[in-house]
Amino acid sequence: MTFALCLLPFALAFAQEPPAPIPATGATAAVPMLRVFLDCYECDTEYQRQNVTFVDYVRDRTDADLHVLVTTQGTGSGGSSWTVKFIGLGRLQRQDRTFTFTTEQTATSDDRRKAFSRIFKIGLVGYAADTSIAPQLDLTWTKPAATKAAVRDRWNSWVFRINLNGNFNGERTSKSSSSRISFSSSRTTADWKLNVSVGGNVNKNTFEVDEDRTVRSQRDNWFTEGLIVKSHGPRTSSGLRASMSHDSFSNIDRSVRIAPAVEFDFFPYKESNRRSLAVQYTIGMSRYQYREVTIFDKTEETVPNHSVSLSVGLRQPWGSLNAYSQLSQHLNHRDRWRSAIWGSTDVRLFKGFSFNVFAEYSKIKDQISLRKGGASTEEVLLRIRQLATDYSYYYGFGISYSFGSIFDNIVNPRFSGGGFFFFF
Amino acid sequence: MRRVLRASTLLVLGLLAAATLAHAQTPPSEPTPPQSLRIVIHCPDCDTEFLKTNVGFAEFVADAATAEVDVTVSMPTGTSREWRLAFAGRGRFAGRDRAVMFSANGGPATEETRRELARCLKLGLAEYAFETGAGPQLNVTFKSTAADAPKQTKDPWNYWVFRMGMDSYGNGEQSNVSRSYYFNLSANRTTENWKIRVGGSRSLNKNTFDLGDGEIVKSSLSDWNGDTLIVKSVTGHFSVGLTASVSGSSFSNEERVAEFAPGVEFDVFPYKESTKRSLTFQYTVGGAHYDYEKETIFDKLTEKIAKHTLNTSLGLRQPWGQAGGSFVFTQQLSALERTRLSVSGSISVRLVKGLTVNSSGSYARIRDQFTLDKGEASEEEVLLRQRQLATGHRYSFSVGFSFSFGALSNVTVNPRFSL
Repeated sequence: MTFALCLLPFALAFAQEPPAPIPATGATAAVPMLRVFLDCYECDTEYQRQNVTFVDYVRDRTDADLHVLVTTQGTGSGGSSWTVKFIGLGRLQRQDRTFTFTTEQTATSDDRRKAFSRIFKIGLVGYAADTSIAPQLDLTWTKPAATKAAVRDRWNSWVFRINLNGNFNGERTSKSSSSRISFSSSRTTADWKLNVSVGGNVNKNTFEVDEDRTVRSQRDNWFTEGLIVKSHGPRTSSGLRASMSHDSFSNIDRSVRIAPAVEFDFFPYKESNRRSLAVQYTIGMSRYQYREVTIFDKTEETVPNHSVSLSVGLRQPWGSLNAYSQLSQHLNHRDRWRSAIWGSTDVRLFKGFSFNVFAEYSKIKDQISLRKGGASTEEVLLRIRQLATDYSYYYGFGISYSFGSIFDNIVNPRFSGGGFFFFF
Repeated sequence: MRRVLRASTLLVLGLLAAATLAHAQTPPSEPTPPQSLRIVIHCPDCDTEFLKTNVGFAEFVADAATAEVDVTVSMPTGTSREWRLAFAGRGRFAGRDRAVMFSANGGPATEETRRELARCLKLGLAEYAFETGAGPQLNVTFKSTAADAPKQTKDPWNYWVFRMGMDSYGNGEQSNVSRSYYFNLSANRTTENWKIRVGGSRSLNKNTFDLGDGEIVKSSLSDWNGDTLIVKSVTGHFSVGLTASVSGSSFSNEERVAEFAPGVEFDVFPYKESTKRSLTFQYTVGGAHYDYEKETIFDKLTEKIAKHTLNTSLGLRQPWGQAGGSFVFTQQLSALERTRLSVSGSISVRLVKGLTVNSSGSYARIRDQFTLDKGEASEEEVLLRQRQLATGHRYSFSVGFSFSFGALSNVTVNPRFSL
């Protein structure tokens, strides 16, 4: 079933390979403004609509002359590598172009939207050169003062990151807090990927139910983990994961795990921003020490296990699809296993109509860490302890339909509450 | 904590050892693109010297074999005034072809023609030059004229956009299930001068917990609303508007609330800079009619109030980061002591390269909880936050630091083992 699900997009992905571009057709002068569908999650489209004004923006790709599909991927230093694909539609059919650029990890949101804006305009200008506003367009070039010599990287590709976060809120009868800390160091090159991270998390809640009764709850966890990956050719890699962790929710005082793995991608990894279909096999050993005696009367145990997973990722003009499935099994108790399938898709089905679905379902036969004894009402309601179950799921779906004016040019911020907020 | 430290140290050491191994592999250097674009231009009558001076990012070569872009200029023939520039990519640009046209009156030697020729040459070369050393210094400029607005020629829908949507979320396992549903509907018309919105939504959220001894706890939250907003732009800084709504909320003990409030808004900065900065002052005065689900702490089942609100908001998104803040004061005109004062702010700043601090917080002084249910709240209602509880204040605060250092310009993308 999982496999069949994964084959469908696989076939779709192949069908989506763009044909080789053919020479530009001679366009007639003074065609109306270019109609652009900007398909981008990270571009601040409102900013682009206010600042790149020599095109008409439309709400649906079926009304566009040009579909601008933007994808980003993380770089080794934590920045973003952007791929901006200009897909010609209608009279611009087959005139596709691709531009790539990067923004650093230290770039602010303003830096990022400006960098995109510059490349967006350079990409558009060739298409807009035969439209009615073409006479108002120009290209400027400022000669750099001096060419910078290539700087030697004294960090040898290592990047270090420290994050600290705290959230606190409350009112008269309740308060809650959550704190997180993490440190990571990584070195990413085309041949190797190394990652070491350490972190922890504490969540606390206090509820004054009445004058004599106060309910308090706490969940905490910490981890330290490492990953080494070696590339072998464009589609294969091998790696090793090692970790040590603690999780109060799962009754785990400490667990240590070491697991080597191999991965194969049916598409070359360099196409991963648009499509990937990877299979991974892991075999490893875990050692658990429990906080309290488990339902199997254990306080500690060692478990050898293996798992196989399949993942698919597609971002195409019709939308996107991601799916993942995993099967894991204990090698000392073959009847202890877990299977999980997760999928998410966002599809533009026809003009104005789109739907999105995400769902996960797990079949669970390996809850060995469960604490012996019943759970209190607070533990259940506040979800501070793992409970016995054979399955778990979550899902979400949404449909949206819109019609009316095809244009999306105007930004009118009046009476929108002013300012803007963002929370961390 | 000692264990964590020991574990981390071990792991870090192990990986550093592995890293030393990896170190032997020198990181691949990005292939450096050629400094300038080599082009060959076929136009015997053109003023090539003029073009060379004006298209500084390209190197004009004589030998077509070494060129990366081949440009053929066709002069107008007969009565036509149309010039055509055909661009053909060579080598790494093979297959990337493009044509650019312009109209000019005079021959190739006139000032107008050679300027237009240079401009169109630059536009056509932009996409190729982007991939050379000159790429980072290229910029497209657009001289907009008053005649450009409104841009689109005709719109049969007269700017109206209609949307409808439905979402549902859920999760569950043996002992608990949670589901939520959300529907919405809206009609919008947004132009520079008017903003009109009519919409409605409905949301439902249900939870079931099995406590294990046959006891089941169920909870649900329900909200609905219908609202309309009409805003007229008066100047680049000033607008007048009207909001009207009908809504209900089980959390707040509100069976039905009908509200109506006209208002004015002033932005210190021009509204057209709203994605960069805004500082607005909004004042509304209006009335509301409340019908409650259960008798309130003031023994009411229904009541009418008149109130006014002042809302000041700041929004900045600048090269250093972003910041936002608001100050809202609401007071009932029928009972002046019933007030609410809310202050909130958020900021994300890059202090130095690699160090970002972000923080957000809000504080409300609450003196107007007149809709509270008179009855006692059950333990489940408290723990599952099913109803509003009496309080004089509410706060939230968050702060985060992120510091990165090292090889911050490493642009390698390595998607292996990302799961």
